[in-house]
Amino acid sequence: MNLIRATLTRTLPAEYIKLRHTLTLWLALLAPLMVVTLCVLAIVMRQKLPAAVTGAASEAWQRHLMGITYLWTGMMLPLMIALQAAWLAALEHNGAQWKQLLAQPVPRSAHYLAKLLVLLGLLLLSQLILVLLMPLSGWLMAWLRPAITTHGAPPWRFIARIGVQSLLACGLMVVIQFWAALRWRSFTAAIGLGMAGTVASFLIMQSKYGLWFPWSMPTQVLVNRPGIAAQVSWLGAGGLLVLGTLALMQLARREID
Amino acid sequence: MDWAIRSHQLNRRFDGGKGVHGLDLEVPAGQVYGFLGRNGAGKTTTIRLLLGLLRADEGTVTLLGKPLDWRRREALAQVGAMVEAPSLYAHLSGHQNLAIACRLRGLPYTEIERTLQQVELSDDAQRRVGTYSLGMRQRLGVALALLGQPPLLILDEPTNGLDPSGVIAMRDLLRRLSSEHGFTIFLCSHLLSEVEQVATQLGMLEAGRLRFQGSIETLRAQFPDALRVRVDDTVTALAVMRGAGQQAQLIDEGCLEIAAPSLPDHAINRLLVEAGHAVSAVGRHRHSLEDMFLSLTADTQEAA
Repeated sequence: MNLIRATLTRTLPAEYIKLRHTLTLWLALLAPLMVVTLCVLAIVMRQKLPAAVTGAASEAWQRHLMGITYLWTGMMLPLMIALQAAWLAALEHNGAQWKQLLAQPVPRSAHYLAKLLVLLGLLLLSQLILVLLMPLSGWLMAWLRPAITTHGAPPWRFIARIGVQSLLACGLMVVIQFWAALRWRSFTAAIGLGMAGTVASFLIMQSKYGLWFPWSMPTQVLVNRPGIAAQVSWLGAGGLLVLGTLALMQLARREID
Repeated sequence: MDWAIRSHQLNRRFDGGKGVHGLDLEVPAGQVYGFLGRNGAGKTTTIRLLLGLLRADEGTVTLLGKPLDWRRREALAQVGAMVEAPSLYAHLSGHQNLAIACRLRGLPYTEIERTLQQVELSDDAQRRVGTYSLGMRQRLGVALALLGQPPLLILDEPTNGLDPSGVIAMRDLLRRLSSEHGFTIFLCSHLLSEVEQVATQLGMLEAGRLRFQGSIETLRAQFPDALRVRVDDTVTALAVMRGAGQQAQLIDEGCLEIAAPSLPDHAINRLLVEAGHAVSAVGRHRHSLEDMFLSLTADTQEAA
């Protein structure tokens, strides 16, 4: 039985059962909703609306969507990835499940690959919800405060680009958080790493190193310089593939004590 | 002979010299093999090596003819295991815990109900495992091992946390699995009296080394029954017995024990009576597994 077949037919369905009665799915749904709600409230609650959202429709959409993307990629996304990875790993760490799992007749790496796929699946779900909420929230703002000009067709290409590129750009961060959460039993260590990375990214994202720092890479898709967004997307996706493979190999060789 | 488990010169060292050393396990198929040892003797390390959870420094493991090193999945497909405390997802029901194992082993869900009945958990199958008692968790752990009726069960302390009726039920279950279904059971425990009641083969581990391996009959042959004599004056009676070439020792006030007597019981009685002693009782004493274990591991205890 090869790794892919074992993952698809055995370990992935098992992971799906484990997710029942957990908060992982709720977090995937609520995190983008929270970000969008905050961004909407931050504008519509103002007495005096900023000029950027009352002028040309294209400028208003741009202002609104960039605000959402900045809050999402800069803070919520890294924290959510850290939390989801830690939760998925804690399912096995808490009940000392590894010894039971790794004594099953499936390739060892199939357990870890299934976990990585679940983490990516949850991330994809959040990203899809975010992309869906982007135009909806703009129309809602225009309905609540007619002076806001986010009505009509939103910039679909921009939304699609941001949705895809920020997802790809967080690949490196995903694999680091995934490895750390599975490597160490401590829930705090994985969350601590995520928080430290997020805080550091605020300091680093504006510098020239922001392109290379895994926690600030998703924010770089907003940089208004040609090629930068594509570069971080490739780096993230490539990092996920290369480091993901190495992480699976390392984890599968681990002894269970 | 068909072997369910064979290991050859299995070694695994940890810091401080602990681990297992030169382990040559031979577990015959269809038997209940009691694997005995004190806490820290290396029992759980051995189980982890048998399941491939730890890598051996040297040596090989074969499970039902399949080498663990290069046919790991085929070897493990024939094994149901419970290592130390059962590994359970507390937020899921008993049924869902078994469903996960079914998925991982590629078994149909019909296995779940059959296994739940075997461990008498059908009525609680839909309850969250977090609400289970320790005994119920232990039984669910055994159910996980039984899924798919693997021909070899490796169970580490399966009676831990069970109340007396649970212990009896578990013992009956293990006996039934072996006698009716022909399972091989590798039963690891430090409760010698428990093992004594179900095992047909024994392995005794001390400080990472096997001190004995074989059938209970072979072990008993090494420890023949002793003769216990109740007598009025033990001091002079002891001298009489030693004078007659018997290995006698004082057990308590008024009682002598003669290990492996070379004379028949009636001859010993006559010797004592002719020496003027009042003999109130003469009887055979069968060594318990505990006695035999302590005797076999006496040198390590003394060194400790």
